[in-house]
Amino acid sequence: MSESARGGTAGPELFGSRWGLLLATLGMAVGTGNIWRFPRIVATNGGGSFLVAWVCFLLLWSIPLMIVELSFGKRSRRGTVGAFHRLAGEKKAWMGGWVALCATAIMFYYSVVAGWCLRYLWASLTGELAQRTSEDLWSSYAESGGAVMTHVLAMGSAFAVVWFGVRGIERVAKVLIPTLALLVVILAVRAVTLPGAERGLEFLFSPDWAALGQPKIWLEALTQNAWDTGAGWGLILSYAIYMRVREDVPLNAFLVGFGNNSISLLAGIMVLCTVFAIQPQAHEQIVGAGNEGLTFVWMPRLFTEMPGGGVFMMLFFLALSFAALTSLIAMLELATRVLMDFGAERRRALSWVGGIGLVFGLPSALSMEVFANQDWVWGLGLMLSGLLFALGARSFGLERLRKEVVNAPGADLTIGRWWTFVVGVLVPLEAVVLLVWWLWQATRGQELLQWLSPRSTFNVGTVVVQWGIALLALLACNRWLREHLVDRAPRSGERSNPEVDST
Amino acid sequence: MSGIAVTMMVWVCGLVWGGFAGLLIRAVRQEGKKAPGEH
Repeated sequence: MSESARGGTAGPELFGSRWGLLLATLGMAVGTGNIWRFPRIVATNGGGSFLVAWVCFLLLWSIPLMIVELSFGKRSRRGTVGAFHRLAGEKKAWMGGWVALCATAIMFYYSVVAGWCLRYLWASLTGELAQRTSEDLWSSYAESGGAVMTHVLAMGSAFAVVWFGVRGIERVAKVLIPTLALLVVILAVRAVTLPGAERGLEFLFSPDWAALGQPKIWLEALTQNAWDTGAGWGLILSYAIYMRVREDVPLNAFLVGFGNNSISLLAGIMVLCTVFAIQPQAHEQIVGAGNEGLTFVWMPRLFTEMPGGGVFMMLFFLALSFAALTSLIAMLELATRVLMDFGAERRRALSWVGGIGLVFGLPSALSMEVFANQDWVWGLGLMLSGLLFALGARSFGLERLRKEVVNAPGADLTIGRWWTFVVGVLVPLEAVVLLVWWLWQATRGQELLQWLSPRSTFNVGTVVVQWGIALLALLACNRWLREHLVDRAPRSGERSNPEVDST
Repeated sequence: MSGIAVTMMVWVCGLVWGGFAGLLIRAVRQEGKKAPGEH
């Protein structure tokens, strides 16, 4: 066990190079949402016109928030709770607590998703999907002991990587992310060369300009950016802790944002060209089948009808598994780092996080209803996390953050005052509008008592109760959080970090 | 494919992939300029 991996005295944990940081952060950002959600959402929201709104919100939500997260991590050298405490103010530790809690709650069920991907990868490798239908496999596997086993396997794999600290994360990212990008390119090229694939491209890129007048298109585009780039989740902050002292912030944020959306675009081309080439008459049914329906029922069926489809199905589930695992690794690291800031040694903190993750993921592995409820409640919670990052940055001083951290020596781009306006005004406004819109959507067609009932899977009541418990607990513990954060001043043998010391 | 779909494809893919490629080239150049101990 290396000293640095234990958080010992040999030196601070840092990424070995800019490329290590970038690949790890891209691995965090590129997840299943890029591959299974983006093609569905773009297909059901006006194709080309949705893409216009999607590009706008990359610049008006994702990248500005990524800059905030990178700055918070680099400046504070602490996890989410410590970063908010140190930069936003002593009374704001609960905000970092919310961000950590939300990402950790997502980790519980995301491990189940990563397990599903591994199960289908195994089924495509062994030829099981050629012998039985994908519906048959899904109905016998989901909510069974098999889903629990693959949840354990996924959590165990991510655990093994985080065990070796930031160097372990960097090494794995350097292999998995270039491979993932190559796989997605191969799959997209195969899809566009299928006979009839041009109908998929036509569907994806044909704009419906009238649709741009509908608020729904813009809200869906904002939601997609919020969910698939990972901006405002606290995960980027957790990796930025390990940036080198004179590492750039703004160019790295732009690279991660554009890199993530590049993969989404490739995934959209891959999925829609495959759908339109193989089963054009069923495209509405396929894209309307939900994330799991599209990925685990329809995609295997389409691949089996494609020449050489067995190989491409294996590559598809390999890409999906890599995307899921690299995001799960970031979620484990976030929670581990928060515990380390309270004095726990890395491997002890990780053992707690992994153990709790295994137990709390079980309900989602065994019940699709619990899974859907948790995805609804904590997916929406990410909008609040984004809002808290914007408010936290305002508390520190947006201009101060821009001058002292974002545009500090080492920056490869200079960020102007536009960023101050976007983070200070637009991001909070977008977050509030999104929250209200999603909650309003959940009340439509329901009686008052129905939408307030906490027992429903998708309604306002379940969100209010679960968020309420979490927020009340965090506010009640705010003082405890403040008092128990360990000031990790450089110990003997560690390099001093002037940016940390000056805070 | 219709002309408008082709135009949109070129515009969106050019912006997203071209943007990423341009930023990557800039990052490679900046890294090349930095001295080994500069971090």
